Amino acid sequence: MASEGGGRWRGLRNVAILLIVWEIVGRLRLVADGALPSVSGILLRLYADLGDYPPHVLATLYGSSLGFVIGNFLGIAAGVVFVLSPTTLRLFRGVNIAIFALPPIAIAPILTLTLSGMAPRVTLAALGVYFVTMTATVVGLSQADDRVADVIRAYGGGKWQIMRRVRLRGAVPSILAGLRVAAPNAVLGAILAEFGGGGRWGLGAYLLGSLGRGEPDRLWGIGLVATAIAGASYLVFALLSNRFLGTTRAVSLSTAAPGPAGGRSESRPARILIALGAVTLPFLMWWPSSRRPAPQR
Amino acid sequence: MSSPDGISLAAVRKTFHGRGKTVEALRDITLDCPPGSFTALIGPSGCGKSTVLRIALGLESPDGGAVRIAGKEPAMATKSGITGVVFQDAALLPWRTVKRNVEVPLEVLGRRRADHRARVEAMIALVGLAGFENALPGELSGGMRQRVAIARALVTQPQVLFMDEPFGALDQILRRQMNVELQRIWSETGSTAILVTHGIDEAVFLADRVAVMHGGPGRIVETIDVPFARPRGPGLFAETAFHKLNDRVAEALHGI
Repeated sequence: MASEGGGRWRGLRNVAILLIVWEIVGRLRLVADGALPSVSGILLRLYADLGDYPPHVLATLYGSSLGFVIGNFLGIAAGVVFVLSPTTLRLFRGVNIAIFALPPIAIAPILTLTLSGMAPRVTLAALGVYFVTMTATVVGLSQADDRVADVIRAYGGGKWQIMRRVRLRGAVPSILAGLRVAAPNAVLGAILAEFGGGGRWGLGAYLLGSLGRGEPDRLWGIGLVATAIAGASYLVFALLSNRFLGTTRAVSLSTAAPGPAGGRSESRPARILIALGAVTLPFLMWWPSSRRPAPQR
Repeated sequence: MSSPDGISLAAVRKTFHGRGKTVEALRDITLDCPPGSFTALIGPSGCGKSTVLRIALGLESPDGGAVRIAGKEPAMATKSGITGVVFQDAALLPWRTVKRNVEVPLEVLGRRRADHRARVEAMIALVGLAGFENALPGELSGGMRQRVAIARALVTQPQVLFMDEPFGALDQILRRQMNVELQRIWSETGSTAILVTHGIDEAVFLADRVAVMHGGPGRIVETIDVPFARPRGPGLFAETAFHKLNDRVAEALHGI
């Protein structure tokens, strides 16, 4: 495709122009008296610091990977439970939204106060992953082909059989698409926790240590490495998700519109109770964790 | 309950409730299918004929009346693996090969796949798909996918076979072809069959008996016997007696 190729060259050209402008701006120290160093300066500094990076990168990878695994495990498990029982989904709506809306920068210091060692990093990475993966799982599982589900039911198969044989495999592309977004979140969550509290190793700790020395070129180098890690993790799951898409699409479109899984058959008091539960559950879960640091004061 | 091994529905009623409205879907559906018989259930769209089938399969529960599949409650019958079902859409799992799709009922029923390998192969051959065992549904035509669905329905050697407009999505030419095929396949299985359809010639060609339904509420208005000898070949479609019987069903259907 000539036009597509042309677009790619144009993109490259634009990037080149941007880099050149950046280089000039950096050399002339036009932004905040050198807060934006030149590209070459950043790269040279990165090269000079290369020996310092491995332990920091490894620590960040360790914390974010652990959080990624735990957060995704919880996210997928929660997604399965929520689809099997829509009532739990409604009950946990408050918790889910709270986890999603919680600003990581605000809870990072709290986490470092309450937890120790790698735990704050892992927790923050897991928190950044959970909502995205849980949502992707719920969407993927609910989009299952109802017609195949009927076939399973017609042989006496229940919810769990349908989950196993139809929904889970059908949700793989959606879950992978979720992981694609979640992976950089885990990296950023871990770095934020490192930045917010203690620890010797990790890109966030490195960032914190370099902050006081007024070396913008090193800070930019760390940012570059962090971005590369986050971007690479996105890429891995983007490629995986593309691979699975082809064999998952239904061969013909379902004529029936996908309705909500199971009508709401509860009585009014039960509905009110669930709504109340959804509102209070986040506070109930927050309460014990916020009390723990109190004795230290 | 005159036929313990067949299918019997006695005074089955069903009402749907939704958003402040209640719709009487079925009123006093009584249908008695002797073992080894082929019954077609024909009616206009929305008359409740698919609901009859879903009740017989235990996918919906009736509000009244009794249903017995080979002497059992529908839910028990489906669990014990004596029923087979083909829906309008082939409803195959797109990531499974033909063979693995045919094995789905065996897996759901908890039977060991290894014991049924020959049966799976035989059913795929019976529907004319030998050589396509390892093809994915996306690589097959609509008619071939529907054949896979038929093989899947027959893999458990069902005593009772339910079909809900199995060829509704196919064109007229392919549909006739599949009718002839189904006639042959069914006569080899000896199962009791119920076919839900809105195609008059399909019903008359395949069935021993055509039960005509009207909608609002769904009820059986007439049951017409089909006397043609078996095996029936494609030549039947051209016979005068066949057309006369088609007209007779059409009359009952349109209430003329």
